[in-house]
Amino acid sequence: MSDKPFFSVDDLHVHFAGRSRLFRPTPPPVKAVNGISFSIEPHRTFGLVGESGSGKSTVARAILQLVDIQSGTITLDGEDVTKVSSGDELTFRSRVQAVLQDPFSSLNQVHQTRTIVGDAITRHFGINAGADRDEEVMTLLDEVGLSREFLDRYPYEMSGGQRQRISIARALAVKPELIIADEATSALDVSIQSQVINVLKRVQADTGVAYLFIAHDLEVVKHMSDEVGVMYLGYLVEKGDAEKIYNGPTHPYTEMLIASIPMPNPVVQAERRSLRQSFDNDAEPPSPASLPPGCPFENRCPVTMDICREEMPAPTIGHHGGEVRCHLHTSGPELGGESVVQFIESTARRSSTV
Amino acid sequence: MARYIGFRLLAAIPLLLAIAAITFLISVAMEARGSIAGQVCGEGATPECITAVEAELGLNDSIPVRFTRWLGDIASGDLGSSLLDRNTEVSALIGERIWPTLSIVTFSLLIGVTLGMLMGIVAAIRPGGVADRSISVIAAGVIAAPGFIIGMLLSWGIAVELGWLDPVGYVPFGESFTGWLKSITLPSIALALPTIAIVQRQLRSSMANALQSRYVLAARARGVARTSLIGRHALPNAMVPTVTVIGFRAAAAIGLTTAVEIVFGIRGMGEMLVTSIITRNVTVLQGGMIVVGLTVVFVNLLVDISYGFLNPKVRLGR
Amino acid sequence: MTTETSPTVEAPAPLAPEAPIEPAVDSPRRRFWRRMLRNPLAVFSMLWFLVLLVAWVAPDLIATHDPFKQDVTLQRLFETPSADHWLGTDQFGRDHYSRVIYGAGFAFRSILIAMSIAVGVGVPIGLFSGWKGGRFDRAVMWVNDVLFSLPIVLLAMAVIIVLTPSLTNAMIGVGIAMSTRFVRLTRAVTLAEKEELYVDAARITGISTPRILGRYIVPNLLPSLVIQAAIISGAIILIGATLSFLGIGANLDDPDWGVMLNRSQSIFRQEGVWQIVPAGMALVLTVLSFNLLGDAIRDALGRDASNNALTVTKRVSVAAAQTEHSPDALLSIRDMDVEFPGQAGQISEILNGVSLDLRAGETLGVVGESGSGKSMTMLSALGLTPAPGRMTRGSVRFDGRDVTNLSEAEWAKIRGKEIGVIFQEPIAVLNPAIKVGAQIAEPLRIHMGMSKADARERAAELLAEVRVPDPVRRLDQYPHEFSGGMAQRVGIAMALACEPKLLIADEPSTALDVTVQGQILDLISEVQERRQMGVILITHDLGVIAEAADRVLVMYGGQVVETASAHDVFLHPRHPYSHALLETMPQNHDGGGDLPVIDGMVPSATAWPSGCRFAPRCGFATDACVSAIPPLERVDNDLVRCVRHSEITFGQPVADQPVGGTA
Repeated sequence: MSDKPFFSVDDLHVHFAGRSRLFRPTPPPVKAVNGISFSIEPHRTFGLVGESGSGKSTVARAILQLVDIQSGTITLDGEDVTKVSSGDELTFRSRVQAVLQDPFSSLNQVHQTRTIVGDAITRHFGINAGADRDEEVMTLLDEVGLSREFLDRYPYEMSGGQRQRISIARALAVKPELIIADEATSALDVSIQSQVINVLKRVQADTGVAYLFIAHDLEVVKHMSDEVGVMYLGYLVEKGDAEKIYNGPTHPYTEMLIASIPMPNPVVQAERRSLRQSFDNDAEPPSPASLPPGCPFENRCPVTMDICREEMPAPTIGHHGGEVRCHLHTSGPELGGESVVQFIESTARRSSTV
Repeated sequence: MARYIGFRLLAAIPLLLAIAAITFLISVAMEARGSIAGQVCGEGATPECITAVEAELGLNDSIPVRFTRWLGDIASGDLGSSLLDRNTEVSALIGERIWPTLSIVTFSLLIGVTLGMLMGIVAAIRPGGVADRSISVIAAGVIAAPGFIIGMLLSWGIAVELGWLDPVGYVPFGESFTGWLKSITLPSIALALPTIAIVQRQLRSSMANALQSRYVLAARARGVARTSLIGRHALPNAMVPTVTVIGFRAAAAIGLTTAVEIVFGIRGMGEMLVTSIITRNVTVLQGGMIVVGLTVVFVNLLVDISYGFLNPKVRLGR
Repeated sequence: MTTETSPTVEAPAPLAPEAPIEPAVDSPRRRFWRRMLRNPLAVFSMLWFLVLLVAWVAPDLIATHDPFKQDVTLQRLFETPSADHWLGTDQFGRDHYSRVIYGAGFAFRSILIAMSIAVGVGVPIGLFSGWKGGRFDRAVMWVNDVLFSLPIVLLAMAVIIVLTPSLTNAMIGVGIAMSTRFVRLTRAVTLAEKEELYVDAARITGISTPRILGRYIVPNLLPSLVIQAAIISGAIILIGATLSFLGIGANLDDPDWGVMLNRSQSIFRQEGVWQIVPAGMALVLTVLSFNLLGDAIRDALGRDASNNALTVTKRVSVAAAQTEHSPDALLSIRDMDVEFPGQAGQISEILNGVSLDLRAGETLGVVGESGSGKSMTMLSALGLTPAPGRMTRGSVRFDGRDVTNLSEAEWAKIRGKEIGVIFQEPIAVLNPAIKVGAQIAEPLRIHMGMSKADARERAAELLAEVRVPDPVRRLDQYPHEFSGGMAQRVGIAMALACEPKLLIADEPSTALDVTVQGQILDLISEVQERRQMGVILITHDLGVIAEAADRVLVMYGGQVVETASAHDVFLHPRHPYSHALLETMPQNHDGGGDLPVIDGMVPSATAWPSGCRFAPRCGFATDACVSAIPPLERVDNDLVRCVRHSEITFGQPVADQPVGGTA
C-alpha cells in the first residue's frame, strides 16, 4: 500500500442529536458511528459487516454526504471530501457512487430505465435525452447483463434482481472510481442474489472500481471482499484480511457472528450448533443512545473482565495482522492465536488440573 | 398519565396565544381600512367624533402595546363593548347567546359520535356486505348535504307536516327541561347527521386497516373469537385516527351551527356573528372568535388526552 | 462444482443477458382508467360534471328563461314544476331551473378562487417545509395546525368582515383556511418520499434539489393531491353555500345556490318544501359527485380495502383429493390447490397439488423462495386463506380428523389450542394497544378457561420459559418496548401457551439479527424435544433448515418439487432446483470467481411457465420438461417432481470448511 491511500476514512464519528421538544428534557444524542477508520484501493473491496444498529449504513450515508458527520476525515486521493463545496459536489458525485438496498424504493416508479440511467448521464456528461444518450444507456445495460429492451421498462415491470441491475447501471453511468454497495443484495431471493453478486464482481474486473460492500450477511461479505471490518454498536471491533478474519477471528463478537451463520449442511451444522451455543446468553445489546463507558459487547461476551466494564479497548494489532479492539489482547490474558472458545476451554482445563 | 395531561395543558397555552393573536389581527386589518372609529360614529362622522373614539379605544397606541392590553382585558374576561351599542358588554351578550349554541353542538356531537361509531363498526364487520353498502350510500349522501338543508327538511317534515315538534324557537334550560330538549332536538339532529356519516366513514376505513393487520391475523390464528377480534383487538387501534376526526368535526360543527340556528330561528352565537359581520361590529366578532377558540383548545385537549388512553406510545412519551 | 454431475449436461453459462419478461403488468394509467370507467359511481359523477361544465360555459344553451326575470304580474309565484317552468318558480316568479343552471357558474368560480389560493399557498409551503425538516418544519406545522383546528366558517368570517361581504371575499377566506389542508398533505407526502431510497439515489447521482422536488417528488405527490382536491372542492362549495345562505357570501339577487336557499328558508314552511328542492338538489348532487370522484380515484389507484383478515372466503365445493392420507401423520395435506381471482377475471393458481405429511415429534422444514407458496400452504391448511383467495381442491387432516371444511367457529377451538403459530414479523403480530401480559394470557383464558389471575401467573411462567429476563415486569409492558428478538420470544410463548400438538413457525428468525436467530431456533427445538410436538418450520434460508429440520419439503412456483430427509436434500438432492439453490449459496463456494447462478427469475403466479415450472431456468431441461407438469414421483421414501430424476445424480456441494477456529 502506498503511503497515500486512494480512499480513506479516518476516525469518523456520526452522532444524531435527540429531538428537543417543548417542556421535555432533550434526549442524549445517538452515537451511531464512533471512530471508524479504514481505507480502500482501486480494484479492491472493503466489506463492512454488522447487525442492525451497528451503524454500518450510517458510515455509507456519511461518505455519500447524506448525513452530517460529527468529526473525522474522509479523503479521496489525499483530498478531504468532508467539506466539498457545492461547486465541487458534482466532481465528488462523479467519483463516488452507490447501489442501495431496496430494489423497490431505490428506483423512482414514474420513470423508465431510459430516464433513470439517462438522467445521471445528462447531469455528468451533458448529453441530453436522445439517441446518443439511449446508446450510452444500452451499453450500460449490456454491462450489467440486461438486454436492450429494458430501455423502456418502468420499475414495476421488472423483478427485484433486474431492478438492482438497473441501480448498478445508474451508478456506473458516471464512471465512478468507488461504489458503495449498501445491502445491495440483501433484499433479493437466494437464486437471484448470486446473479447480482457476479455482476458486481465482473464490473470490478472490467473497470477497476473500488467497492465498499456493506451487508449483514457475513458469507456474502466474505465472498465479495478483500478486507473486512466488523462493526458493533458504532465501533469497528475488528478489521483485516477477509479470509484470515473469517478463519481466525480474534474478537469475541466476530467469532459469535461467524458461529451464528447456519451452514446448509446438516452434518456440519450439527457441530457448529454447539459452538454457537457457547456464546448464547439472553442479554440484549445496549441502546446506541446510552452506550456504557466500557466495551459495548461486554454484557454479551463470554469472557468478561473488570476492565471491560470500565473502558473501551483501543485498537491493537491482532495475530491475523489486522486490527482488533478487545481487552483480551491488551490488558487481559492474550489469545496467542487461540479462539475465544478454545481459550475458555483451556482455561477451564487449567483450573481443573490445578 | 397525570404527567402527560400536565404537558398537554402547558402546550395549550401557546395555542391560546396564537388564537388571540389571529383574532387581534382582525381589528388591526380593519383599522388599516379606516373603519373602526368610522363604524362607531356612523355615517357622516365628524373628525372630532373619530378622534374621540380613537382615543377612547386606544387606537393610537402602538400595536404591541394594544395587543398586551387587549390580552390583559380578555384574560380578565373583559371582551369590550359592542361598537354599535356602547352600553352592551360583549361578554354579557355572549353569556346570553352561548347557551343555545353550546346545547346544540354538544347534543349533536353526542348523537353523532355514538351512532357514527356504531354504524362504522357494523359496516367494518362485513365489508362489501348489505349493511356496509347501504350505510355507505346513505353516508355519502348525508356528507354531501349541509346541515342547514337537512335542518330545513326536518323542520318541514317533522315539525310542519307531522307537527311533532316546534319548527322554530328555543326554550332555555332553566325555563323547562322538556321544552329545552324538544327545542334543540331537530337542530341537533340536523348537525349530527353529517357527523354520523363522517365518523362512520373514518371508523370503517381505519377498522378495515386494523383488521388487515398482522396482529389480527395472528390473534385469529390463536383462536380468538370474532367479537373479540373486532372489539378488543381492532377497535382500540382504529379509534386513534377516528378521535382525530371527531376533534376536527367538533371544531367544524361550532362553525356550521350558525346556519342551523338561523334555520330554526334560534338566537345563538351564530346569529350574533352573522349580524356582527353585516354591521361590521368587530368587537362582537372578536369576542365570538375568542370563545370559539377557547372551545377548540378545550376540544383539542380532550382529543390529546384520549390519544394518551388509546396509544401507549403517546402516553409513555415516545 | 458437483462431483457426479451427469456428463451429458453443461453447467449454465453465467451472466447470459437477461431477456425481459412480457410485461404481464398492466400500465398503471390504463388500469386506472379501466377501474374508473367500471365504477358506476365514478361514471355518474363524471357525467354530472359534464352537465355542470356545459351549464358554466354556455348557460344560455340549456337554460329556458332569464334567471333574473321576475314575474311582474305576480301570477306565477311559488309554482311547482310545469311544462313552462321545469322546476317551478320562486317568490318573484323567477324560473328555478334557469337559476340553478346559472348557479353552476357561481359554484365553479368559487372553486377556482378558493382552490387556486389553497393549492397555490399550501402546496409550496408543505413541499418546502417537508423537505427542509427540522426546526423550521416544526414551526411551520405548529402555525398550520393552529389555523387547521379553527372552524373554516369562522376563518372565512374573519376575512369577510375585513374585506366586506361578497362571494369573492368569502372564497378568499375559504381558500386561506383550506390551504392548511394542502400544507398538511403535501408535507406528509414529501416527508415520506424524502425517506425513499430513490431520493437518496438521485442525490448521490448529483441531481439538484429543485430538480429532485420537481421531477421526483411532485409526480409521486400528484395522485394524493388530486384526490384531496376533489374532496376539498366539494367542501368549498358546501362552505360557500353556507356563507351565502347566511347572507355574507354572494349577492342576494344572484342565482347562487346558497342564496336561493337563503331566499327560500323564510318561506318554505308556508309555501311548500319544493322551494328548497331545486337549489338544494343541485348543491347536494355536486358535493356528492366531488366526494364520489375522490373516492373513486382513491379506489382506482389504491388497493381494495374490501377484504380483511376477518373476511372468510366462502368455500365453494372443495374438490376431493385423489390420494389417500397417510394414517399415522399428525398433519396430512393432500393435493391442495389455492386460487386467487386476478385482474380482468383471470385466475391465478397460487398453490398446485401441494401434499405433505408431518409426524408427531418431527420437524419438517419447508423451504422456497418468494412466491413459492410456502406460507400460503400453511395459512390454507389452517383455514386462514386470505380472501379473496380460496382452496379449490384438496384435503387436510389434523390429528385424525378431517379439517378441510371446518367452520370458523370450529377452527377457533383448534387454532391456538392444538396448533400454535409463530409469524415472521414479531412486533407487527403483537397488538400495539394491549399489554404483552394480557396478550399472552388471552389464549389461556379462551382455551383453558383460566381466571385472569391464573392466566397472568402462567403468562409470567411462559415468559420465563422462553428466557425473557425479568418476566413479571415485562408483562405490563407494551409491544413497542420490546426488541425484535424479545418480541419473537413472546410470540413463541403465546404459540406454546396451550401446549399445542403442532407448532407452525413461518420464517420465525428471518426478521432478526443472525446472532439472535440461533437463540430463537434453539428455543423452538428445546420446547419441541420437551413436549414432543410436530413442528413445521417455513424459511427461505437453507442454513436454518439444515440446523433444525428432520425432513425437508422444497417448494417452487406453488408446487412441491422435492421431499426428503434433511440429510438427503443437502447431500444428495434429487431435483435440479434443490441442487442449484445449494450451489448458489456463498457458503458452498470457496475462493474468488463467479458464484454459480440460476438464470432468469422466479416466475409469477399470473404466468406460470408451461410444463415444469423450473424448466426455463434449469440447465437440464429438455423438450419433455415443457410438455406437461411432471408428476410428484416416489423414490424410496422421498418424493421428487422431475421427469429426468432417474437420469441425473447430484453429489454433495463443496463441503464447508470448519470455521471459527475450531479446527
